[in-house]
Amino acid sequence: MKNGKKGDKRAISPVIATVLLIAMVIVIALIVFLWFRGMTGDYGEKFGKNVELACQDVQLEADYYQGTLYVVNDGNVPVYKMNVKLSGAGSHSTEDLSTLATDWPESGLNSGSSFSGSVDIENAEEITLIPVLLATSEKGNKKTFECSEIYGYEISVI
Amino acid sequence: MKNKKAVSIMIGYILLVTAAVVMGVIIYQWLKTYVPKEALECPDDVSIFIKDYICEGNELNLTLQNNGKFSVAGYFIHVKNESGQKIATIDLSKRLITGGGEKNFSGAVIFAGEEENSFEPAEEASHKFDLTDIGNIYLVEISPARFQEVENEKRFANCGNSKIEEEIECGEGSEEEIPTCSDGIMNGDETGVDCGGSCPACPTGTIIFLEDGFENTDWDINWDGNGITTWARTNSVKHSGTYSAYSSDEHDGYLTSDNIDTSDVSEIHIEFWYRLNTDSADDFKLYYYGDSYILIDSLGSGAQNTWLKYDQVITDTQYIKPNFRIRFSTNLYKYWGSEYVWLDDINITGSVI
Repeated sequence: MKNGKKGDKRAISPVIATVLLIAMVIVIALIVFLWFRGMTGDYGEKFGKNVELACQDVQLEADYYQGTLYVVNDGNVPVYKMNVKLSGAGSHSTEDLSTLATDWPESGLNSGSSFSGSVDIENAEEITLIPVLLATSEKGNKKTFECSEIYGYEISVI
Repeated sequence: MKNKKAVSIMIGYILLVTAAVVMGVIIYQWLKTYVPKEALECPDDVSIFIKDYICEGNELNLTLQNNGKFSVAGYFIHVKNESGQKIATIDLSKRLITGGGEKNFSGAVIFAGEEENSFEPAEEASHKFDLTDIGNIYLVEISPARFQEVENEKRFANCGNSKIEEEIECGEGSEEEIPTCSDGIMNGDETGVDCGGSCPACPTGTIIFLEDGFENTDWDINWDGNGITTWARTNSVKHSGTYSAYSSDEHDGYLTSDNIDTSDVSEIHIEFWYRLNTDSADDFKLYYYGDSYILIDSLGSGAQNTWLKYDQVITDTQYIKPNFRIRFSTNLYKYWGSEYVWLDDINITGSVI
């Protein structure tokens, strides 16, 4: 073997190159997966599906009459807590119903259950009831999830 | 040197495929929770109704019949004891005296029987409830419930879509009140609300409450007594005349009429023309006001860019009052282009039958 002869350069074998390529693809895929997952968030599951989807199945009926808020859960998704968005002229605020009313059930509003309680809405013209569900995280922990406002129940009180 | 040994190309492919499969499984496990599953709900033809009711002192005896096509396990029952209240929230399931099954499952009254869904179609059942300390009852709401199989699992489903309500008068003060000519309801021999029969004669003919094509200089003069509107007026689109009222993402919100005294008529005729440049039903809603704003119709999903006529006759007595109102509400956004709703030629009249 003569030194400096063309075509005699040594490098990594095709197999090692392939293994490196595969390793790089896996690492990049993992990074993208973890980033995307962090972006969507782990909100937990409800009845075997993402809790965000369970919000679509919440079915409430509610009314506000003479200072009392009446709510019935007509669906099959238990509502653990309820956030109340009070909208008035040019402003709004959101509060937990259990802080506004003393008798919100501790276990939440199960399917078929009802709630009625005195609630001070001050000068609000519209009440939006936003369900908060109890979900199970991947690790098996219970965590609350506030549904998007589009799944809220609106009551006009003007 | 041709004698180098390494893993074969085949093994390389196997490694590649294995890696792809493992990644696929991981992503599938994560994404499958985002795939909508069959929701827990009852079939459409689940139905029970209150065939009869008897009030005896502090007891309410309900006779229920299954008039649906599916057997039912039980029902959720709520009543209301305030006449002005819209929905019933007082739970009677724990006040069952006789007639139900042995268990009270998940807040529902369960029908007696060995089967899970034991209340068969056409079957009747009588249930008696204790009304002590509730007072007068004005409304009963019953929502059927049944055991439903979802993904090989039996679950107790509330058939909220088959909920029924029955107005009743029951309780300590349920004796019929003596009708008067000023009680605000059509009763006794009255032919209208507090008129006709032994009361003063009812007005006759048609009363025009509101005729508005938004042609006045002060275009919202009939629409500013219950909050200033966010809507605006335009002359570029109209059903008749020169102008129409419109809403867009920049003028999103309410258009609410001034109070209309409908107390002298027995029916109200609502008529208006509207035009849509939006596609979601909830983008354009119609409300009537009795004691509060009640959603009547979601109109936003009709044919676009053509004038549509809305025509309705109201006889519901909750709207026959001195401060009846009509409200149009929009929820419009700007995506690729703006969404619009136009409104024109609103006629509200009343007549005595």
